Amino acid sequence: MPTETLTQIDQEFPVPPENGFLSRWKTRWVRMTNKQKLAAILTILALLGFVTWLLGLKDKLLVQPLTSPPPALSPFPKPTEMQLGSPSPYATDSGVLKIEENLKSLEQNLQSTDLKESSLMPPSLDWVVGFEE
Amino acid sequence: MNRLPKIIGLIFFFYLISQLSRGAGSGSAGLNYSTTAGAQEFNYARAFNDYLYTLGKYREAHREYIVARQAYLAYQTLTSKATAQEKTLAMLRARDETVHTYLAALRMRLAASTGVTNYEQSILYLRLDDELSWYEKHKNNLPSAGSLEDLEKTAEEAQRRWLETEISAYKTLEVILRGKEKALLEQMSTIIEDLGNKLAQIRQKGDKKTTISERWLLEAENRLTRSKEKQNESLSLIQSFKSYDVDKSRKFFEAQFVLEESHQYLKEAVSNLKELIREIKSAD
Repeated sequence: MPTETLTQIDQEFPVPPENGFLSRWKTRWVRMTNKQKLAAILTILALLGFVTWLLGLKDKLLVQPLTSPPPALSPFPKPTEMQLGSPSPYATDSGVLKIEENLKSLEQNLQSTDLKESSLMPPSLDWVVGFEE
Repeated sequence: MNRLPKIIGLIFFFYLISQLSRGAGSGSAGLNYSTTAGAQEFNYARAFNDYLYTLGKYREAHREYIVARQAYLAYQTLTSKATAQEKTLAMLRARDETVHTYLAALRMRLAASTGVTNYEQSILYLRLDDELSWYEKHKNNLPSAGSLEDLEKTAEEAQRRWLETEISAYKTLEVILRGKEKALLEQMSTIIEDLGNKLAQIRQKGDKKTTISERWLLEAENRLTRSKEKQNESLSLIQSFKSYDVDKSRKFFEAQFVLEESHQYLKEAVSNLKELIREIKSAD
């Protein structure tokens, strides 16, 4: 009776054929055994792990390690961090220290110089005087 | 004997009078832009405060002028015309006074500036003094205008004059700003020269390598050259002013921007020299 009922229902409300991508995989999944399902899940996880490892390797491959030390004379020398090494004989040279002091003074002047003088811009005045509408 | 106190009193009285009259004479210098001793008390700060004060007075007079103008245009009565004339005269006087005090403040600022050559300063003084006397004369001639129409004509003269005055003002401002940059550049030049001499001494002595230091020095010299070029560019921009230029402020801001670039080059040169000094003070 249920079969006949179902058949009647199918005839009245026909089920559209499963032709979508997801629908096909859904159908296959349903037809798989438990062992096959487990194998599929493990395969997918293994693939994801492999892709992750590849991405990590790519970053390392792109940055080439220097095979030789950088040249001593680069075109534009880069600023270095504060040297914590030993001082040279000129670390306490009075001439060098005097120049350093002058440089600090210049730096302060550079920071404090006003290059706008906004208060001395010409005043905004009304130059049009007329009594016609 | 009885007359002696009277004589002493008379002598003291005349002495007091002479001292008081000498003190009053020196205090009546007023707005004097020559290089006399009295004018030195009139400094930039005072000139600028005078300018701000007269600008405030002008704004007040302008508001009253606008009200009187609108009333006259609306009612066209003899009374409203008389009021409009009175307020217009007051506004025009305040306007001339504002320009006058502005130019005076600018002149004082120029006098106190560094890095400006005597030639540039003299040229600008002549221009500013010419403008100052023109506005003073114009202000004094205003009461002679007998009607509203005469006032309108007089006002137009000032409007035409302002086209030239504005150029003088912007040129003065540019010279002041460029003078500051020039003074800083000269300071930098001296330091670079001193460092060059020091490196030559170290090289001659041979107790430290100077190759890297010399490269830093070269970098700083390049920055200095770029800074100078920017200052020249600023001068060219301001020299291209014409009285018919509609937006003179835009050209001035361009020159100002170029000077800021010059300033940035100097800052970079300072960084280079700091590295140089660090290199000199560190062992090889």
